[in-house]
Amino acid sequence: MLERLLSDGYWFMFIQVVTTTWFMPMMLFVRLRNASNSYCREHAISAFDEVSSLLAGRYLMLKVLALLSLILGLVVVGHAYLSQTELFNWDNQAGLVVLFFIALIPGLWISKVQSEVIDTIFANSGSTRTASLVATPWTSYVSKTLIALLTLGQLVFVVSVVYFVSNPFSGFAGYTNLFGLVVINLIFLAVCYFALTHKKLSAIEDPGHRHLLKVKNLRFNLIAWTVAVFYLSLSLWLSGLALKDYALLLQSFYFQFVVFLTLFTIALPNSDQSESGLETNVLR
Amino acid sequence: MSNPQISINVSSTEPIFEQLVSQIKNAISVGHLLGGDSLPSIRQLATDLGVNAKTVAKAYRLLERDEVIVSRGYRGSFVHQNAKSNLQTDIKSWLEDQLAIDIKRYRDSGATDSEIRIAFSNAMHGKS
Repeated sequence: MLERLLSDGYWFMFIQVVTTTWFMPMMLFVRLRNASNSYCREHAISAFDEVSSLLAGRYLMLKVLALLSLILGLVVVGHAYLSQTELFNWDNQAGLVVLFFIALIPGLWISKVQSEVIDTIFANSGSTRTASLVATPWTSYVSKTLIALLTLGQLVFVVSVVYFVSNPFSGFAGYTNLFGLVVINLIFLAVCYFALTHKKLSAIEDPGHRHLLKVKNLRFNLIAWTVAVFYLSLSLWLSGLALKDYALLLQSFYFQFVVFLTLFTIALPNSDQSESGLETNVLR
Repeated sequence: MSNPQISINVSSTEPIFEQLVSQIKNAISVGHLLGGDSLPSIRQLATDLGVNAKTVAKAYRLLERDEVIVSRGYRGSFVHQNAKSNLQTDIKSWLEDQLAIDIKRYRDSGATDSEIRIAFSNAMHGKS
């Protein structure tokens, strides 16, 4: 059974396209809409009507974008399946990356909508701004376990590269792989910095809610970062052990996992989660 | 455990840095902040309030000058151990009092307000 599934390796590509271009964006948007409405109803009532009508309009546009992405993805995979060639008549691994980027189109749209929601709340927030006078150490944003895992992931990758430099396989790029790790680290660091210092977050009136939103964003980024680093090591080993089919499967699931993760982060905090101000560390 | 907060009004005629200074002092005077308590970093407070970091830095600098808070480099800013007794320090009103005494003396010696203003401006800009 497993052999048959692996020999017909297009099934997970179809799954990736359908989940990442349609199901996840729709679920993500509904989650964002519910959280935004709930937040506005309780904490920013003056922005409620504006946010509701904004989301209604954007939902229609999202459906169009998601549908176009879905059709595009299905055409690409369908063509490869019918002609029994690799994706784009090129390379399955690179093709999966392209499919992932296609799936990012609705995701980026939702991210823009979220930004618009925060802008709208900001514009309606009045002239009073509130902040906590309690210092929040970095450990209140991210768990030490995640940091330890991330560090471990980096070490495993470096050790893997060093190992494969001594035992290279066909197509192995040598120490250049470490440059890739540095680039990934820089990108994720920049995203984490932005998540912490985004000025429009002052629109979130309750410092506890604001803290929670930062925690969620940072946690998402750190998990994606950690998974990305471990994925790099795993794909190295799978390539090194000549298990390309598993590498493709892994890559596909990884992309779906990253989109799935956003479901739990791109949203305003639920109104019932942080009435206790900054004492949200228990959520870690 | 109390969670001291600060609220500023960005439309107020009172400068934001003065609102920050007075509210931090107020949090100390009512006991919400105690000597040794750590304060949020300049960047964090600026982000949370949606104001320029230089504004928060200015408020912190003034509080540090009055020994209400103390900066410990990369470890951040903390409430001064003698903050409560130092809250009375008000350089602004002391300066106004001193200037009022000096200006009265100049006027008594026959100087006009215009001459005083020009002389003061020259002195401030290092002109003789």
